Amino acid sequence: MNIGVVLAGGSGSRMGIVDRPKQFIEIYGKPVIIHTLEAFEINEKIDAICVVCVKDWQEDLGLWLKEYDIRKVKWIANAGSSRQESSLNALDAIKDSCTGDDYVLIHDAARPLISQKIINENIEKVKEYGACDTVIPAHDTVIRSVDGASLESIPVRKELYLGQTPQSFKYSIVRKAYDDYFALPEDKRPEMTDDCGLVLHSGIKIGMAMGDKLNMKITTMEDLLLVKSIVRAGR
Amino acid sequence: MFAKSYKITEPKRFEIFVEDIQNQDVLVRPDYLAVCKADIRYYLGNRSRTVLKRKFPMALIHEATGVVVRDKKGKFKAGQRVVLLPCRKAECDGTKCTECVRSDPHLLDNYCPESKFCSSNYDGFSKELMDIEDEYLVPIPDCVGSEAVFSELLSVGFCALRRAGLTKENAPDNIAIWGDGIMGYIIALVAKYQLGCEVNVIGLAPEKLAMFDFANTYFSNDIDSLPRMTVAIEAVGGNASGIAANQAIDKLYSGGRLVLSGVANDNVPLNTRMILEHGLSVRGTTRSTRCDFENAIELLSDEYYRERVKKLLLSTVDVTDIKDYYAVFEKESKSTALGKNIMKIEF
Repeated sequence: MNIGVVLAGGSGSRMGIVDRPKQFIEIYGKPVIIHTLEAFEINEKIDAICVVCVKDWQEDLGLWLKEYDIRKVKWIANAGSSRQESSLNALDAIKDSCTGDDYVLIHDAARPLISQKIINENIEKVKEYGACDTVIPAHDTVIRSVDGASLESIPVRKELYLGQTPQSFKYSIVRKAYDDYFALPEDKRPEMTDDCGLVLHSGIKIGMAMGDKLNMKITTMEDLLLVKSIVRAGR
Repeated sequence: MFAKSYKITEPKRFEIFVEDIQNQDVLVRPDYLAVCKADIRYYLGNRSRTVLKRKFPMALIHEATGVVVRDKKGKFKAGQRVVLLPCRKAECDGTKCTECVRSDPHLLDNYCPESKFCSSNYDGFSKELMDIEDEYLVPIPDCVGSEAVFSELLSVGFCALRRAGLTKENAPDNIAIWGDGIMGYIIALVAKYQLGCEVNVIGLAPEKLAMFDFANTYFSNDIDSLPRMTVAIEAVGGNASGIAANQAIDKLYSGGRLVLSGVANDNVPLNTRMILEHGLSVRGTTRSTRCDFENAIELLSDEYYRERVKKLLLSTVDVTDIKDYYAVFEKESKSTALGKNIMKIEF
């Protein structure tokens, strides 16, 4: 079984919007999260979807699922205080319905332009490696700075990629990585920004699925402008 | 839902567009596409600038198959393979025809002046996802593979016979087809299947004529031994279509029918004297409609004919980005081979 896990627990604080998290903003009449869920809904290889959602918006989400005829959502889990907690909540929510050999594709709700090709390649790669990350080559030179004021180093660009989502895992692998991580005392847990970092920390080799520049994350108002402009151009 | 499409914006320029697809009918994922000469003309800019300016941006391709993703009305199952029909009926107030051609069995909706046609005056199938009304989809049986992408060409062949007024019941002893290109091959094959009569093909290139193993072949500069016929079909196109049509006019029995199917960019001189002396009738044929596609699928279900259609499949190119898409158009625009390099798309 392939399960899409859509993380919609963010607050949108970097956008300045106060009335709703970014994943619930509408793009030409439809919430961002619904655009994202539709991509998983129509993929023939995705069997079920789990949405991790902030509590205050779960009722709205339920109404939208009906309105937009999203049928594959089987679980709505509570958002955690961090990305890791949200992912863990999703893994807990689905645990009785899946086995260690099933696959989970963890995706940001705020990336509505995900293509079927990316989902399919994730499924292909996760079956090959047990874990996979969606990446795009870094076309710009990436600068490393420790103090935020001067350059520390310029890593070799051809070795650099930018991480996107989905990040996909065999359930048993990501479960163990999370259990091990949360078994550590809080002050001993390494800082992780995503699920792949956590799985990589547990020593698992992670494959790469090619992403797409269009699979951008709406984090700032400029990102929203870009996504809306892209969609407007196609009208 | 969002889905990518590739559209031509000017000659030799494709761009990526993201469309917001509304699922009202059948949601389909196009999988195999074939490039037509009409697409090549747009790609190379071989139409007037005014025409191109009016039509662009436009998604090209009208020969395609796809997979059903979801059907709101439940007529099709998810995963079902289908041929995508390019002719679209449109609102018609009936003022452009004396009698509605849609109900004339020799014409039907592809001759309605209000009809739209994909990759001509309506978006074609170069899209990640499409929402299509069920009347524009024909199921593909399991025995038929990616060669189903040639259904549109086959349907044009059936339409040509329909325009010639030919059926199995009134089939002539023989039929002659001018043209050794892909359209000539297809019409000849359809004629063999539909009429069961002797099929004579007239062409120029020995290596192409050698592929017509189901027909008698003649070189166009040596047709003395070609038997006379009551029905001839011109499938040459371009400036040479006049030469072909005039050869056919010379070989037709009195009262015979000439069907023109090749597209010529310029006006073509015809031997009208012989047309009137022999009481010949000349008909035009273009495109096709649903019944022709259903016939095409029936033909493909027959192994003998399916194997001969497969010969036209030169290669299958995986198209996963716009660079691959460009490469296929470049390849096809330079190709003189009998057949097509088709695309398997996953944008």
